[in-house]
Amino acid sequence: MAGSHDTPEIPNPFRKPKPEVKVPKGNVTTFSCGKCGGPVDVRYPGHSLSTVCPSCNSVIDTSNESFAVIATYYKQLTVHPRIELGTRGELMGKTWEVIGFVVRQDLASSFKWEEYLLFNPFHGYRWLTCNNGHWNFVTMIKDRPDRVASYANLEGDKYKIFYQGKASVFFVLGEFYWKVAVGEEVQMADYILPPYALSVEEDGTQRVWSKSEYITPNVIKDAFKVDDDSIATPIGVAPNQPSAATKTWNKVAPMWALFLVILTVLQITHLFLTTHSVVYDQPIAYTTRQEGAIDPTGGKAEQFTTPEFVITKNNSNVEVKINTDLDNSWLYVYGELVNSETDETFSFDRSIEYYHGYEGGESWSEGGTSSTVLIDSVPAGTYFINLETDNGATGPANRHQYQLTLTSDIGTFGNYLWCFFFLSIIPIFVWFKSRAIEVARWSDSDYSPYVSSS
Amino acid sequence: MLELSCPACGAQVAFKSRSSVFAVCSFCKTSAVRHDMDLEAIGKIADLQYDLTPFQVGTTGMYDGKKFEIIGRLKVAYDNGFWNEWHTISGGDDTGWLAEAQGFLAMCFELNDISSIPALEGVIPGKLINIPPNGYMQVEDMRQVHCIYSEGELPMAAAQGRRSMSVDLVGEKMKMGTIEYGENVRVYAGHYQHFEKFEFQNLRRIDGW
Repeated sequence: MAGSHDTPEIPNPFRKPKPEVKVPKGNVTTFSCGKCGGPVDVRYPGHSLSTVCPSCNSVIDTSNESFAVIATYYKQLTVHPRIELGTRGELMGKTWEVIGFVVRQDLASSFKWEEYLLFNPFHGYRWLTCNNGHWNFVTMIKDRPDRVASYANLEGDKYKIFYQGKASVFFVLGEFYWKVAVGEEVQMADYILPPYALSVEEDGTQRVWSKSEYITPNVIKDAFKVDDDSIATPIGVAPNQPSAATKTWNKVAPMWALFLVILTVLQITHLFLTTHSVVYDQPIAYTTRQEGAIDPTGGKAEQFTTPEFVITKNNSNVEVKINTDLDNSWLYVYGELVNSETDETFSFDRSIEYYHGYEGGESWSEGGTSSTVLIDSVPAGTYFINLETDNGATGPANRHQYQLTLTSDIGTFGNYLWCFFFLSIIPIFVWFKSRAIEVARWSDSDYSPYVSSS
Repeated sequence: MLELSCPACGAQVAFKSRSSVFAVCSFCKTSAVRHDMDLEAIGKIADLQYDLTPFQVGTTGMYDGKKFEIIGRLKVAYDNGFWNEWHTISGGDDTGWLAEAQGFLAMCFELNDISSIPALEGVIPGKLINIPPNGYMQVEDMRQVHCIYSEGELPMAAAQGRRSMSVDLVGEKMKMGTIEYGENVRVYAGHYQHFEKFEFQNLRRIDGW
């Protein structure tokens, strides 16, 4: 719309308290305040119905030329807007001029936040809100969201209730499209779906819905050329502040669940396909050491070689299980699984010990009577096992035996659990991060889903 | 298009819609009622003091896939403000209204069948009223309004000061409606629409923007 004979478009945005007022010429009307006589500008007569005198804060009716003073309030008190009235900025692809400033407070907690009325003669009104240093771009909507229990639904999206309460106007400056009044109370509710929020305000005669979008302070700084001092660092997590972790979690969680299901299906299939064939299962005798023997191995190790047996499944695992009748004693087994055709050897050893007793009115036990060894990737073929045992039994020499069981191709859980673990590290990390942010987000809400655990 | 002479200054006054019965001469601001092929002057329209609207007679836009053109305007005032109702024509002689209030825009069309519309006495904010084809909509507000300005051509005699009770309704999915209780009951139904979607052309210049 800008034409060649336009006056300079952008007013000085670095207006400090009580400076010369510089605004784009053209529509501005200036009159004297009926209360204090100071000059009052109306930038958008015909649109603005009330204007606040910058000198004495009286609210003046600007719907007609009589400029009647509607109300005088807070002569002493002045809240300085972070963005000077009259500043123009580019936001959401359009130019907006800041024409009004309202400080509102929650009646229950006296918590205050700022609202800036934006105007563009073509696109109408918008609001910027500043709450704990967090900014939102707010558009009034004519849609009527559906309120169901603790949600408001709009265009298929569910917004969760965050706040409900009464708010009142605490301070005003600038001009407004209605007759603004300090003390004006509305019933409010906010529903969130980061980075968006829906708000509803009711004052008995009207119900106004608006939709907010979270914007970062830097966007405000750039748009309105505001200096760093005026834009505070945001405190905490805003109700509708987008969380990268939560966003990631929402994406990762279903994938994670899917992978775990696939992994589990693979594992179940694996368990079904394994044959669990017992290839050797025999008791093997050993002699307990003579009393007084000193060296546990010195020549006393007992040797035994099993008959040959066949492993039919190629490159499968073999589980060696040693089941003993130990009783307050130990047994050491060294074994070599030897392929009788290729001499390929798989060695293993195990110390098994089991002690128990009754002391001070309590039974105790330590260790166990059996042990297993898992040997991976054993080629098919004919095998035998060389065994060497030693034991720690005391007392008279005695014959004992242990059961040696070899099972080929058994189902294992190791790979499954490792995959499960590695697959879960990132999702669990993201979940913790997301949760920390969500807990912080909801810490100011009466409707926090985390309230029982915090 | 019908062109008649202004009864006051003799300038040409155009009638693009056959249903227009009222026009304001763009030269001398004489308002005139059309009796078939004659214009009868009924008064003069005083200039508007403040008029910051992006629209003007001649602005065109799109609604529902059809191009329309603004041919007249009614500006009304109520206790707490003003709004504009722009009279539009589209295709042969389909007329409608573009309502402009507090930055919101809505396009609506007059209904012929108003049998489902209750009498004013029974209407209160919050009441649901069935306005076909939009269906049930809720009364949002009710305002006593009077005409403060008119221009171009209009389907009713809109002299300054003409009073009526205007009842606004809203429904889901941006549906809206208006019932005007005046000498006659007039009912309009339509939809809110965003500025961009109208693809306006020939907008008015606004200083500084």
